[in-house]
Amino acid sequence: MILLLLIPLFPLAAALILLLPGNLFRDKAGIISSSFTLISLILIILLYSTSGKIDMIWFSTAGLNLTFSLMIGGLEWLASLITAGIGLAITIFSIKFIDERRQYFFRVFSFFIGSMLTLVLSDSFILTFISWEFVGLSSFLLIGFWFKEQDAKEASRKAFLMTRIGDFGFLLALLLILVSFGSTDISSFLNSLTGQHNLSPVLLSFLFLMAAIGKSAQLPFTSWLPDAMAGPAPVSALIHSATMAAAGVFLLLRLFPLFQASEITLTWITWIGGITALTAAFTASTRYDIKRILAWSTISQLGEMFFVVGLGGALAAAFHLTVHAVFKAGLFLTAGVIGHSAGTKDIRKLGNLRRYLPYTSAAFILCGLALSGFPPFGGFWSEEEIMSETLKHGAAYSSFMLVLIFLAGVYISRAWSAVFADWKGNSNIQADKPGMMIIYPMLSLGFLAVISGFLLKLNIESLLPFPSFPSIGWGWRSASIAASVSGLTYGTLRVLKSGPVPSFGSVFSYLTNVVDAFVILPVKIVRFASEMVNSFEGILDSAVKTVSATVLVLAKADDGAEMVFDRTAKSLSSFIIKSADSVDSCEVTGISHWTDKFAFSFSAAGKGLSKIQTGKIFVYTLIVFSWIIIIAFIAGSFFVFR
Amino acid sequence: MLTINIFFPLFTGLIILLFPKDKGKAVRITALAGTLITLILSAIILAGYDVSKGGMQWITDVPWIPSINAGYTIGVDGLSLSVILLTDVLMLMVMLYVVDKRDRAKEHAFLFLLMQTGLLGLFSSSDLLLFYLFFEIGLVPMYFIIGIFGSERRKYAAMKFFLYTRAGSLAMLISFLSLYLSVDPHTFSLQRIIQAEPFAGSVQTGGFVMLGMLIGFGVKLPTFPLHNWLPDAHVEAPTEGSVILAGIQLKMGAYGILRVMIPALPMAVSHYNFWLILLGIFSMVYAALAALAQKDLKRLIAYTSINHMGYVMTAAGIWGLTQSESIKQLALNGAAYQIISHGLLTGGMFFIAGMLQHKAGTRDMDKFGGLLGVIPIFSTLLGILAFASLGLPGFSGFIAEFQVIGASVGENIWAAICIIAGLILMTALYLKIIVNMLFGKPPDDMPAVSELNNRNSFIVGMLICISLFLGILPGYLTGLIQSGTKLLTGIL
Repeated sequence: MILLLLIPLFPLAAALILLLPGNLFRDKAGIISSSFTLISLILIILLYSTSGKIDMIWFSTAGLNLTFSLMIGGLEWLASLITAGIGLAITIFSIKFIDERRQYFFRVFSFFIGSMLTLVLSDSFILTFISWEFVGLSSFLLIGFWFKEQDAKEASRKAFLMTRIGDFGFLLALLLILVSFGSTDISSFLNSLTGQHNLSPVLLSFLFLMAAIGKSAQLPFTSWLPDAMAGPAPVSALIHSATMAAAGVFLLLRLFPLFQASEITLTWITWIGGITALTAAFTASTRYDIKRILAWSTISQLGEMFFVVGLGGALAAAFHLTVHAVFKAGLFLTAGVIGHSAGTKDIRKLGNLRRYLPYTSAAFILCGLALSGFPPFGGFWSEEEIMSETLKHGAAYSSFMLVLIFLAGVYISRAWSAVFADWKGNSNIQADKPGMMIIYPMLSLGFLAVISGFLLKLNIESLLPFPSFPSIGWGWRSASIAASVSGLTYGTLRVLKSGPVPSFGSVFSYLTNVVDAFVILPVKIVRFASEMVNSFEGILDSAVKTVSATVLVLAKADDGAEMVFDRTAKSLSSFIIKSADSVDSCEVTGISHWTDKFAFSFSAAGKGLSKIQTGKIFVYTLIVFSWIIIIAFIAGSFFVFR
Repeated sequence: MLTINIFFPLFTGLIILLFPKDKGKAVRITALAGTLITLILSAIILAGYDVSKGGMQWITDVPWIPSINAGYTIGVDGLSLSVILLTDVLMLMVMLYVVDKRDRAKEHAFLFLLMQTGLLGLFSSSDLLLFYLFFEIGLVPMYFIIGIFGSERRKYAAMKFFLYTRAGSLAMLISFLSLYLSVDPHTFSLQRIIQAEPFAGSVQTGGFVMLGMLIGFGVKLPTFPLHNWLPDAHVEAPTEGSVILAGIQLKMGAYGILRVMIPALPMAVSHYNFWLILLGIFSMVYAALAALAQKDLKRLIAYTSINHMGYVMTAAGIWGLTQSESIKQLALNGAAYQIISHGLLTGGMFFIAGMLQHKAGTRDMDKFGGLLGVIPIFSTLLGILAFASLGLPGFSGFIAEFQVIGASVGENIWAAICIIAGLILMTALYLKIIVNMLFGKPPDDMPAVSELNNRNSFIVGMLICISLFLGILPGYLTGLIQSGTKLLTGIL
């Protein structure tokens, strides 16, 4: 099982090697990064259909042992396969695609993949949480890769902050489990859900749901993901497919027994997922930036997975997660090529790129068809699984799925036609041809998008520990095909006829304003509270000053006070030296002396620094000071004489 | 041996006083060597400390003022040892930082060394009168450091610092005296006071005694509403003064709570646990909000200190709230870990803020932008410190915070949620530092900045490395701390 340990360690080791200073590996960085990920991928493939576990104690505090453990089973194997496989394709793509600060890029990229592998293989809540945070950190660093740009700056901040709010749900749940259950082991916790510990599955599942919503950009934590495309295209590809955004759905699947124990949470998951999926799909049909269209599509697809998990269809969600990872990574890479070769990602300025970028167009078509659920491409199979799950709950749910399939067809065909087809009035933009190192990873993802659905269909039921379900009848199957085909046709025709306008009118572009309100309001409240506190601090400050000023006036009122203070201070301090054995007098001296000091200091305030050193205050403080030192000496002499 | 360790800095300081005035360089090197030797001495004491046995070791107990039963009683356990080492490390870094400063080098070095003796003595003493004495020796030099070496409004800040802390320590002394009088025979020995369980019968009297300590330690911690001196003191203090002020002086309050208040008055702490928790979490949220509004980097970090030290107060409250031995210990472990972690990280933050001010002449955050493209090493270090301070796993802060939150989550989930709300604000705050200062394009009127020199990078890098080590392998320090906190809970 040592192999299991090595899987996440290889990419992390690559990150560590690339941490070496300077630009030692500037040109080799991508090679190092991809070969280490390749080793991980080979190890994962070797571990097919094995199961095992490694346990380590990290440290213990107050009798609680915090363990680090890794385990592999069907779900973990599938998730790590996606991470390493897609990660590898994207890393190879980046070797030629990224042309600045390469060592930095590949260092963080390897760290990202390593963290995600740890996350999916971990069998300890604390280790999952740590890698969960590391995934967030790597996203922050990569989204902010072009840190000089304003949008990268704001996007990285938003991504980290919004996802971290959700993360704290995870932290609370993890700590509750730690202190009540005494361990952070995931498997043993899931095995004893009904055991003797007074933990409410409702509370725990809601806390974990918070974390999943944050990472998977479901409502109301949606807006960071579309903004996150400010990073380079390979970064978006990784975040949207196999790592950051996928982590939320993965968490739902990993802790599925816990969610099953709480009906109400499942209902919430369904509703959140459903509303998000619909909103995001409509929004996608109104955007003009190709990467933004894809980003909203991701949110919609993840919403679909939430929707079906809530209905109890963990198997369908896992299926769709896998297939989605493949085609979405492919789509983002093509978007990167489009932006890079044509110089813009705005679909209004693009058009007829087929001539210059035939392979890119082909990859886009393959992945796009997989997205739209067109048979026999990947999405068709996974969406069929989703349909068969929804059917158990009623035709309304399945009809909702048909709407989503139709919308996916519309927005993806709109994107393709606007970029690659010769629509009326397009600007006939020119583009440079990308190199082979860029085309191969893209095309292979396109190829995988075609076959992955069918391949998985054969294996997934035996691979994953979730219940399977009967296949849907031909009626629903043909309905879903019809939805997909009509969506594709509508989207294409509309672009060919009237250009890349929003598919259903621009009304839907205002949906995001509603979404943004969820963000802006709390931010405003916090700003307001912060200003309030700050002005209160000012009031506190002036109150202190007023009190001091009053004391100063009182002190000055009595001209003789200084003299009296003077004398008492001197006599008392000499008294102390003589009688250190009477602590009560220490006390009296202390108080009266310092009252003296109080008065003095204020009468001296406002004068120059030199006064402090030569003036009375200095002398006085020195007296007290020597008083303290003398007591210390007495202590010392006692010590010596014994 | 422990006595030598405590007084060695003072000894170095006295030697320095004998130096002629123009030997600035010699003064600096002697001071640096002195702090280095002190660190080695403390390390030897640590090596001789038997963790598996735990409890107080290296004990020296001789009568000091026999007529009032005050003894020169010193000893260390895991808790005090870790704070002592923190003190030594930060002092060493301070001496390294100022090694090329020639302005009034003698006074400067002497004051810091004297303060170190006070701090080491405080963290070693097991006698309340001795504790009070060292508390004062630790405080007074800071007044001069702010007053002499500070910036424009130094006099105001020094005075404010002084008055607040004086008032605080007097309240503390009164509480100590009532503890002294409540035990028969009267004694200042902390151990005997703890065994006698003073005020066990009268919670209210105990509450008043606790209030005195709460004021004394609360001023130093600091906690709302006694925190008003802190932002001014930090802003006006010289860099090295801020580092020690935030890194160690605030810990005097935290240490006092753990070492004296909880063991001596367990009944009162249990009875008033709600107020302690409320005080702790309110300070945390309040300070985080106040920090968000700041533009001055040093002032901002000063407020974050109040947030971070709120964990200690909250942990004390949770200690009183819970019945479970294990949760009690978890809370104290977290509080103690926070003491160490905050010392390293905020110390580093103040170093870096000072370095920036030294180069650019201002700390106004709005004046900076895009530093990552201009001075990458500085920016990377600042970025790492900020992420470490917002509680990213892998750094010591996370270990501390999750223990305190973990202790509270099972007892009172609302307390935990309030702490988390503070943490979210802190995340926003540190992101603001990172994103606004390091990302983007430099504004046109940005002051000229230059890259850190090797010595300064080493200082900050060293603090980061220690924090990273304590974050990745927390086992040793938690074991060490636990050998002390076990004693605190075990007695009761």
